[in-house]
Amino acid sequence: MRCHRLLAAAALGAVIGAAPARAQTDATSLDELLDLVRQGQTRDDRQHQQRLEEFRQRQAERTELLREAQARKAEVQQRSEQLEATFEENERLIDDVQAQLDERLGTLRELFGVLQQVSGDARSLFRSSLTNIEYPDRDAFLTEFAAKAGSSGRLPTIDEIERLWFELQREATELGKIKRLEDFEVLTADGRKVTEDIVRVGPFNLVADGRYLRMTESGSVAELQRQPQGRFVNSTSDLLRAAPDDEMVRFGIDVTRGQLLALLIETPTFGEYVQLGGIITLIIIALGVIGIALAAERLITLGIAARRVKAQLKSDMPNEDNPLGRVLKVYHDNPNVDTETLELKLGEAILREVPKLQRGILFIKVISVVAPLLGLLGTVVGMIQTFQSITLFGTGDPTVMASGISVALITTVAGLCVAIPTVLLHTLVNTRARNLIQILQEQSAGIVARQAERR
Amino acid sequence: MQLLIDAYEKIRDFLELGGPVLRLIAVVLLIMWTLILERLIYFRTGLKEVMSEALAEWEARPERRTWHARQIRAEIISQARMNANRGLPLIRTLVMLCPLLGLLGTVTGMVAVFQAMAFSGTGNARAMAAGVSMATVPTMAGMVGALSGVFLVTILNRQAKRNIAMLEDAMTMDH
Repeated sequence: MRCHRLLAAAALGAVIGAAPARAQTDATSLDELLDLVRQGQTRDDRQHQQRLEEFRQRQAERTELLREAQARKAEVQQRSEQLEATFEENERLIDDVQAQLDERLGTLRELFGVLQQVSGDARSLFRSSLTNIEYPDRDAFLTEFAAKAGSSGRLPTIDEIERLWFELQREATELGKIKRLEDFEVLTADGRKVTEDIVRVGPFNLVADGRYLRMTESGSVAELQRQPQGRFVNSTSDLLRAAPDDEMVRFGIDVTRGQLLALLIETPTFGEYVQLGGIITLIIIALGVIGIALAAERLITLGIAARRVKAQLKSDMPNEDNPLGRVLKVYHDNPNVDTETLELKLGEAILREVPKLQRGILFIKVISVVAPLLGLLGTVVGMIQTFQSITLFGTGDPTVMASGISVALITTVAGLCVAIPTVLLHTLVNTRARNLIQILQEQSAGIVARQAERR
Repeated sequence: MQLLIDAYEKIRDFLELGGPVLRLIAVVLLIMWTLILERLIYFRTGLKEVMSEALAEWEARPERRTWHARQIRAEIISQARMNANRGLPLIRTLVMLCPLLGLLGTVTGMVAVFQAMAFSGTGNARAMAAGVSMATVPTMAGMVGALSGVFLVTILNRQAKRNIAMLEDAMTMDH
């Protein structure tokens, strides 16, 4: 019984679970409940059946899809095989064609190698050639041509090959010419741009009227910062003024294609030398100026005095404007004294004149002695600088030492440059003064004696 | 003619090799030798004349023993000495200048060498060569010039002194 109840409860539970709404239409009896269960069972079966049906249908659908996909796969695989075959075939074809190309190019390949090399060489040659200022566009052409001749994809055309020939021929022809280029733009030394006629002398020089020019890195034309000696510079004007035909002109040509002229720019000027020499050079130069000015003043004064003394020698009357006249005046003022007193008085007068004549001469002498000594001082100072820079930088860089050495040498040069003319001037001034003093000391008494005898 | 042109060009190239200092030495030597030649010729001709004139003037004097006579003798000798010595100090100075100028050339040349070194380092021997020739050529020229002058200056000095001494000896005092 207990078991029965359990079953009933289970069935009830099942009914309630399957149709909870129906369960509320409470089974009033067991039969009814049984009926209900049966009904539910059949209904469930139907439902299951229906679901199964549905699943089966979907399975069929999926199978269909699978079949379709497999069909496509097969199709694509077939296509891939086909393409692979085509690819292989094409590759064979390419090989064939390449072989054909190689066969047909044959010696031409060598030709293109040569063309590439030649155009590369020509480009670097033309870049440094003076004709580049006239034909600046060939650089781009040659660059492209070299690239074309070097690549396997493109071939230079016959026109281009002919142009290369033309450019080479033109360069050779142009280098043989002395050519006048009208209205060319020239960069002057102070940075202005002027337009003027220039002449190109073969591959060697570019000149304007009175100046040498150079070609800059960028291919423009610039004046040289410093020009060579006048003899050479003058010849440039001759060249420019020469008749365009066969007239012969003497011309200073730089056969190193501008290297010598480029070295010229590196030579410093006088002002730069003074700057290099430093303060000692300035002192030496100042001393030199003083010495030369003093010597000039002395030369003029002594010259005037010598002329007046010469005039005095010819006249009898003493003139107060010259040393000899002043000495002779002593005799004229004391006509009746005895010879010994006269000699004493003359000696006194001469002693008064001598310092006036000798004034400044000693100073010139001192300058002529001191100037080379100062030069020596500068030398030593420069050497000290040199050794200091050696201490700091070692001997590895000669340019560091060179500046100190050039200081040393320039002061020596300045010292000698001042000493040489002052020595010369001292001699001239000294000789003049000595002559005058000799006249006063050795001859005044004689002149007095002559005048006394004539009376 | 061609020979002259060749010689001219050689001299010009030599002068350019030595730089401006060599030109200065050339000028100094030219002046020095002109002066030396002038003196040599003068001692043979002009000075003899001056001396005989002086001697004649002295001999023509009525008396040769008073104070006046002595002063006049001193004057005559002094004038002759001035004539004999004219230009000699300048020649001596020029001789002295020659080695000084040579030294100047050496130093300017060395300056050029070191300039070249400062710009292009020690590697560029060609850039330095110009400076070296500028240094050595004037030195040599200065030495040669000085040596050629030194002997002649000594000879000239001695000749002048001897001539004046001879004049002094000839002008006797009557006493």
